[in-house]
Amino acid sequence: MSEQEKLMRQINAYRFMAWELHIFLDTHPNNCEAAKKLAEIRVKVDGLVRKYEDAYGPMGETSNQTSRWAWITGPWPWEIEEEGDN
Amino acid sequence: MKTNTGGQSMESQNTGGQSVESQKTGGQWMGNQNTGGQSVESQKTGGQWMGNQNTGGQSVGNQNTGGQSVESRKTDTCDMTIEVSPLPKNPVVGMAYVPFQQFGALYSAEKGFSAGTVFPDLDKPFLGKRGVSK
Repeated sequence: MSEQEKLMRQINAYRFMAWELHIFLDTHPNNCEAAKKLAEIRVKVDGLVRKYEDAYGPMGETSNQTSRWAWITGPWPWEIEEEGDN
Repeated sequence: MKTNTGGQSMESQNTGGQSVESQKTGGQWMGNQNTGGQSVESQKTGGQWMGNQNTGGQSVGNQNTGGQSVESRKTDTCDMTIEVSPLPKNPVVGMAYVPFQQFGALYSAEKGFSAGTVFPDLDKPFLGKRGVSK
């Protein structure tokens, strides 16, 4: 796994954790221990996303890390296959 | 390919102050302050707020207009957590009960991601052996 993929996996894992805590709070709205944990994980996700975007460019069109159409500078989905061994 | 111009967007408000996320049925706002490391969530139906700033039973509207600063929320503890026991105190004969999930230790993000849940209590891998591990 490349560094980029590792970081992406980490982001996905922490986002999943945030979502898990979110739906836990749906049924346990008075559990502020879980709410604190969720806030903590959200900070962690924000940090990882910032790190990813600093290194590899914006993750989406809502990203803070872009001033222009930077996300279209990468390969388009149909170009990725062409770059591999055909 | 770093293209940070310091611009702000509505979507992510990681760096600055408050974000107001959504309105639930109680008509109260849920706020989340990432920088403070605290979050204040509202009850979905009651519109009551968690956190010890609420010990007087105030609503968030009162708090916001009462001039409470963000800093004062940093002293939040878990005073408002309402314990719900896994099973009712007086179970009735002939009724089935589902134990209520309790908050406890969590898996790491990585482990939870592959297990499909971050709650060890809910980690029930399918083993194909009548629900018990071999």
